[in-house]
Amino acid sequence: MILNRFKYSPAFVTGFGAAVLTTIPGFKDFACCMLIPAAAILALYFDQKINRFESKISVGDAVLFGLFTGVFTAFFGTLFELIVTYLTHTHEIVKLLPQVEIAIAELNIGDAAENSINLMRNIAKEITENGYSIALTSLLLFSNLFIYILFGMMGGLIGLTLINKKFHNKEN
Amino acid sequence: MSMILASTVRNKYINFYAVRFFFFAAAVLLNLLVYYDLFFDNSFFHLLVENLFGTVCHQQDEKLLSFAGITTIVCSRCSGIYTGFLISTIYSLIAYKKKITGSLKIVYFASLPMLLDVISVQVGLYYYSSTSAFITGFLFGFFLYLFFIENLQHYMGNDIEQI
Repeated sequence: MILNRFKYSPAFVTGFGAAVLTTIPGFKDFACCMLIPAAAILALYFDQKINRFESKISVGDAVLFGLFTGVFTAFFGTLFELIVTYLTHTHEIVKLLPQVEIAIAELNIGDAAENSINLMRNIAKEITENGYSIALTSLLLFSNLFIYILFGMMGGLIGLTLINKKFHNKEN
Repeated sequence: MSMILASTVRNKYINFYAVRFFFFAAAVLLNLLVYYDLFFDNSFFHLLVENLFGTVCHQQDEKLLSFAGITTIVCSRCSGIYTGFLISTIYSLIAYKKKITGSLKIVYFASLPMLLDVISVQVGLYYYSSTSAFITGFLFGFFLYLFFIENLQHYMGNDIEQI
């Protein structure tokens, strides 16, 4: 019997799984925006299974499981993307740079956007030269955390209603 | 005693109406971003939003929804889900005192057309259609939210005051 089990280990497992799936080419075509919510629902289901469906899920637990699933997916997703970037020495941001430069020129806001364009140029340069950029890591982690946590929490709440309805309906 | 009970019930209604309004606001924000080109004209922020949603949608050019000279940020199916979510939040605000069925069957039936559409396209029964992807996604988003909000209210029960 494992004592003091990390409560959110199911979120760790499904978050890792979701991060792996996001790297598989073509899988996003199939799962699209439902991958992260599905991972959060699965994490809640696994937690319930471990605890033998003893008690219904509370709103707080559902939100936290979704949050942790999002955090783990973002962490591993960023890690995998950085590994691929390191190996290939290219990234979407390098391909996007010309488009961004055109977009900024269209805006005609002069020096105001110069800093962000310079930042992107530096990132692109570092990636093509070293395969790694600290700025890119921060950007990826931030955007992944933001979106995945949001979708994870939505999934957690959907999971709460689905699992409670299916397994704890008589308790209410 | 009955006055306290009535007051509690009324407060629960008011509080849960706020919860529903929160989801409505979230749906509006989400749809403003999804239909970004319809409301805003800034290509730099378009790229930012596109990049942000790139983490949760494949965004293949041929699968984006195009209408009125604009294209959506996410694919037709995702656009359908988000639009269904928005319409559903509006419906749940208008009809918040009505008892809507919270049966699991509604989720199964709503997801069935979408699953069939995805599988049919994947196995090559027919080619991807933006219209069918949007409609099936819309149905799923609409009924999933109705099921969700109805059951959330039910399961929160007495904890409603803690929100």
